[in-house]
Amino acid sequence: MKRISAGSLLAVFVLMSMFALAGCPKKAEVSSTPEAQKVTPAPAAPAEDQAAKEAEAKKAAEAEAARKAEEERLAREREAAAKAAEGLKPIHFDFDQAVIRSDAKDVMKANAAWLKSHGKAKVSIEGNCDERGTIEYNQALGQRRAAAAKKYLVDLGISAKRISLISYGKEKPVCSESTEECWQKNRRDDFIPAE
Amino acid sequence: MFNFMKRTLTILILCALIILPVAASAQFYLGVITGEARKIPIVVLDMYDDAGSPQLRSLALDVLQSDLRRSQIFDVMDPKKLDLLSPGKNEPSPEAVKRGGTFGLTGVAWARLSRKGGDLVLSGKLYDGVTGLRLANKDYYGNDELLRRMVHTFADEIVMQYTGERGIAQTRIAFVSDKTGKKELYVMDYDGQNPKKLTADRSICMSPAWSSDGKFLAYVSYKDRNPDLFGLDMETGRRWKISGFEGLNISPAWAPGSKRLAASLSRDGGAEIYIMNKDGGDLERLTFGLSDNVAPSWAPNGREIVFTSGRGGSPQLYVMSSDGADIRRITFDGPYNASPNWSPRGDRIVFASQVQGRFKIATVKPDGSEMQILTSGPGSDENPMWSPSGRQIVFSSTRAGKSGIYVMNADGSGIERLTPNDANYLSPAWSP
Repeated sequence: MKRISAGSLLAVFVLMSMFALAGCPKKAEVSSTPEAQKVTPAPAAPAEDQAAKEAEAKKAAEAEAARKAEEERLAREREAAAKAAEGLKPIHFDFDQAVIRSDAKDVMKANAAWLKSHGKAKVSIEGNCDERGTIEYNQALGQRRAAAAKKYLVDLGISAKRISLISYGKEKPVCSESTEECWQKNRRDDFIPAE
Repeated sequence: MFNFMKRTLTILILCALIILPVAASAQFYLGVITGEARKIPIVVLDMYDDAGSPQLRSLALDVLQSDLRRSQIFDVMDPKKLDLLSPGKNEPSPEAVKRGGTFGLTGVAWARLSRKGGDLVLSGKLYDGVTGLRLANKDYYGNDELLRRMVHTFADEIVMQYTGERGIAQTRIAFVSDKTGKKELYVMDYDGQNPKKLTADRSICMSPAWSSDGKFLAYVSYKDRNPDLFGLDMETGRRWKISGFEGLNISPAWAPGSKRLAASLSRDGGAEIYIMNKDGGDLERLTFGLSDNVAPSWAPNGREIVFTSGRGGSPQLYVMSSDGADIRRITFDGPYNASPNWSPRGDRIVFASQVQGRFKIATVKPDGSEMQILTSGPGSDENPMWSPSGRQIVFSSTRAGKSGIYVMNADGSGIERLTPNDANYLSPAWSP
């Protein structure tokens, strides 16, 4: 019996040691030899990786060309805006609303008349919002404002095929002060003649 | 004898099965975030300069202490105030560590910078202040440029030792800036360092969103003269169009643990929330509201989505099942509640709430109870998002004039600005 107990105790001791080791993985792994780890950079930012750096000169030239193209595009836009100013006029909205106001109805009728007299012209209606409101919700609101103007033009007999919509949300303010006067200018639909 | 031994063995195995999980979880001091959790007192004994570069040494020490402080888990003590002396080139003796323990320190960290071959090596050690036992022993190999990242990795290792969770020191924040005159996408380290430009669309980029594995960013760009959804592979730089229907393709949000994403499209008229594959395929419409439905954010278990809707007459937050069923409104206070983001811990939703004409950051429980406004003061605070640990909130704010990116603790304390004041910085998205 004594012999059996001794054997059991030995087994218990051995097993307990095993479990003690298994139960403390953190301590077991911390040896006097440090664990080595190679630190790699965060995934390269795609626009600024190695290849991009090698092609820097080429890129600079491209950037310059793009800048010129952008300037030309802006000039065309200004021209278009000036052209629009002759005929197509913006309309304005109440805060968080996409209803065509009564003061906008005459403008819409004039816009429809201009489109009728320029039968080949297409128009892009750009919905805009003031700075109050979140980026994403304002994009949706701008879309509704543009869609409301499109419906109005279609009701006045303009073909829906001639009208495209884009919402800029609060990204294209024409006025940057935080006043009601300024906000009113920004809550608008622009009508841009398109090819 | 055989039977006796067999019984003993069975009992031992049973004991082990019961004890092991307890032993494993007992190593972690903080399992969950609680409002009043006591922080763990820790000290960085020294960052010993064995690399002949005092500048690198002081940078590494500063980054390590800042990382530990920013983790919101530690109370980082000053070794000088505690009269703890630097042990020099060799790691501190158990007696020196235990001396820290007598001052109430739970953790004692020590590190050394050295050079091996062409590599810069950060040797980081962590000790238990009470027993003097070494808890972590790591060598990080890199170079001078990678030093911040090496230190971030060590800081996350320390956080892992005490919480069992990944730290946030290696995470990054994607954002939008008009630095070049056009709104482009950028990414920076979680502490505002190393900003890098990601796009050159020369148009308007907005609303970056990380996939849950951190490999992809989805974002909105007007580069094709329409707000389209794009994907960007952060490893290869590959870009692709996810969704380009005429009209809105906006506010993307990747589903947790999945390659599908929710977004708002106006292809059927109003802005409605859809789920799609990362190539825009397998489109499933979730909302059929009469008004705008935008800005979806997933519950961490993927079963529910919180979003902004104007269906009640003003923008408010609603929660629905991920199949579009069981819609319920969760915000009733305030005229305008929008931009929700569901905590990775699941327990709260952070959003922007209009208070006296300006947006402030607020949180609410997913059942609509316990709404709290966290920020105050001048300017508007928008587009809030949780850190992956759920212990911090990043947001944009115009409190200092131009829009900047700020980080604060989940309770609204400790606001810190991450971006300079040279341009507008907005729409922050914290990587997993």
